[in-house]
Amino acid sequence: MGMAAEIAAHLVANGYGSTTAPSPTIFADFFPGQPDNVISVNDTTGFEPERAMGRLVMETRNLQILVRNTTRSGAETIANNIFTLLDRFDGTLSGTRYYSILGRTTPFSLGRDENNRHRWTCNYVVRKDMSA
Amino acid sequence: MRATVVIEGFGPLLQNIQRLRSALTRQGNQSAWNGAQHLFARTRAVVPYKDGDLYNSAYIANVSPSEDRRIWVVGYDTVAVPYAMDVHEIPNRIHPTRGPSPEPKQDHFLSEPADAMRKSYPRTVADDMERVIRRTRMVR
Repeated sequence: MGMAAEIAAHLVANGYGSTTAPSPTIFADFFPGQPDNVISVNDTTGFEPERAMGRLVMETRNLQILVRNTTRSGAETIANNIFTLLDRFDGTLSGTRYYSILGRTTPFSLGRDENNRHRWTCNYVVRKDMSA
Repeated sequence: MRATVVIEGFGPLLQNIQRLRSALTRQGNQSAWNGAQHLFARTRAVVPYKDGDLYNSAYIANVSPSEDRRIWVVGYDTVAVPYAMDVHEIPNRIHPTRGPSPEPKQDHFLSEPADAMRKSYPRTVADDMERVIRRTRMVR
């Protein structure tokens, strides 16, 4: 399971929606055109990994949470609540040790898309073990 | 009983410190400019290209607060090109390879090149400084 899927599962566990059919609302590494209200969890590459004694000891990756909603307040509230959930996270997700998740900014608006839906996003730096 | 200690060479020492300080400041300014130019080139190589508006809105700005603290900003003009942030942040879009650079185009076209140079840049500056220290001619 990759980082985006692990974070998506964490969001599901905390009641933000579902990743499974028939009505998924949380997507890992995918930002579909429908449905209107979605959360997209994206692994947007990262930094050089940390090495010690000839082996990888920690990877540092970028994570993006992108929220789309038919209302501005809906998108903003979900993005901010996810920020509260993820920022300064330290624990284990789907068997992978996460040393820290830190917001690079707080969530911000990307405005509306061509279908008048509101989008909010936030980028995070994630320090973790390699995902299994 | 008393001992007299005479230290000589303060004049040349102060001159050398001043020379070194000037040389390091000059190199620091140059290293900052080099870093900004590198990032500018890297981001423009991967920024999605349609009509060139976004590509051409990239800029380097000098926002240095003083001669001793050189800061260059690399960015895109989000007033002239309001969709710049949208293109940067929305993933999964297909961006055909077009424009002056043959490299594949991508979202996060500014933050990813910046992240890529974040770890190596301090070492590059340190190497620049070491070179200056070795090359600076000292007054004897």
